[in-house]
Amino acid sequence: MREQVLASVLANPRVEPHLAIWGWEIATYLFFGGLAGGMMLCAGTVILARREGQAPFAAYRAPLVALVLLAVGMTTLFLDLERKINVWRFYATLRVTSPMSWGSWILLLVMPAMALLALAGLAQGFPALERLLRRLPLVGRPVVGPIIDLCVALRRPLAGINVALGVALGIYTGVLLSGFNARPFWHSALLGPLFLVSGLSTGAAVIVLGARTVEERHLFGRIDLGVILVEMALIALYLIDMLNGDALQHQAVALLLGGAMTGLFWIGFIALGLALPLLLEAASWRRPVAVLASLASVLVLVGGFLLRDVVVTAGQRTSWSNFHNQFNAGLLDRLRKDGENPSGRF
Amino acid sequence: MPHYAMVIDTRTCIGCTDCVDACRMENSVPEGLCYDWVVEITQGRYPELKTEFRSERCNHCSHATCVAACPTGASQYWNGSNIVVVDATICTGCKACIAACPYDARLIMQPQGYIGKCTFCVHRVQYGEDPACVATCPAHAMHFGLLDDPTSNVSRLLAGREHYVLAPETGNEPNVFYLR
Repeated sequence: MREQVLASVLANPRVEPHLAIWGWEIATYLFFGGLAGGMMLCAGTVILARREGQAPFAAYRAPLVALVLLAVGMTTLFLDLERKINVWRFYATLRVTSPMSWGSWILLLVMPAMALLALAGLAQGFPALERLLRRLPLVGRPVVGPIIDLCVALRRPLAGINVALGVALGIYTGVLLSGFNARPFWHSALLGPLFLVSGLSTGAAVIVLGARTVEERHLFGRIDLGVILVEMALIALYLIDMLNGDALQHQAVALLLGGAMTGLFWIGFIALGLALPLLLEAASWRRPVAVLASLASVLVLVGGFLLRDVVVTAGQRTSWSNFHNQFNAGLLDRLRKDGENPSGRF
Repeated sequence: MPHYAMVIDTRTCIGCTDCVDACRMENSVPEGLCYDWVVEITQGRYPELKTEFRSERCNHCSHATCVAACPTGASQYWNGSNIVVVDATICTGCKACIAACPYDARLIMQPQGYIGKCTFCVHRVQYGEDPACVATCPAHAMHFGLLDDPTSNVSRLLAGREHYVLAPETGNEPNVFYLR
């Protein structure tokens, strides 16, 4: 036998759950980041392929919707920072070895790219907002008007930039986690493509929900079906990769195969978030049914969030070291309920 | 480039956790948190059991993944040595370094929010003193010094005794050594 027991208290999330590294804030940010990246990719592709007539929501409205949703994600990211006053330090440097540093610069490029593409589609997508912007006192006619005109003139190059940045943003949300060799569950290069494809799927789902024409809804429903199949293949590859890995990877993937995250992963994400929408979209492959398409999209969005939540949570439970805590968690909780601070005692 | 190392003799360590208390006093560690901790490893089959105590902390790795993962440069090497410190004025509390540490040696300082960790007591080391845990150890099981100097206490101990580091497979090149 070999038993490693802590003789003093370790200030660590696996011993003290309330010291968790990342919670719902980061899962939400990764979800909206991937979703916004997917919408950029969809909007840019529609414009580059000159299919605006077929997909008006994706071409004209999606960039602004994506911008708002990404802003929500960035807000939760900011909420997660423990020392918010130093947030500007992200932009005082570029650390080549840090995925998070790359990500913060990508976000800084993504926001204006999205905003300019949104301005280009404003006249068709949100005409009332466009008129309001053009009529703003002082800046409306001399500044905002010409900028909008310029964006409209440059919409194809802008669309190209959005496609490239959308892919970068989508992959980054996965690489942020897969860059940590210290967390076996995250340490797989497949997380980048997986989060990109999942982001594309959730982005397409938002377009299905927002589309006003049957044709556009049907088009993106069909696209989503293909994307879900790719996502399933990537999940399978990830599981195979882990199962063929070393002891650390076996312990990590055990969280999904009988461990603490099994129910949420298989029932929440795989069954309700992937398989069911796949069936619903397959059922309306020839004849579009609005209710089925909307239901499938909502399920895809819930599944997309659950994937991030499961991965973010599971990664933190895996590590190179494994301790038995002689002050077991249940016992510590009981002490806390009795008004004692157990860590203060030892 | 000064290469500092800590050498801990698991044969003389009695697991009293005085190193943990000394560290808390020296560094004003917030209540309920700690920069170092003691692990008790029991091996064998009853009644032939062997117990070893190990005082663990940040390994001040020569290839520290936490320094590489830091997006702002707050996590850094002190004065070109291998001592890893955090600059609280730059730290955003993004926690990337906590996730990046294979030894789980980092924590959030409450309530300030920057990331805290063992500093090898640089504030003492720069005046030639030993870190607080080493200075306190009542069993004289802990040693601190420069690996560059072949005549130093730590170099001689490592040359003469069998030793190991924690999880060398991480590739981080940890610098806290344990004598068997």
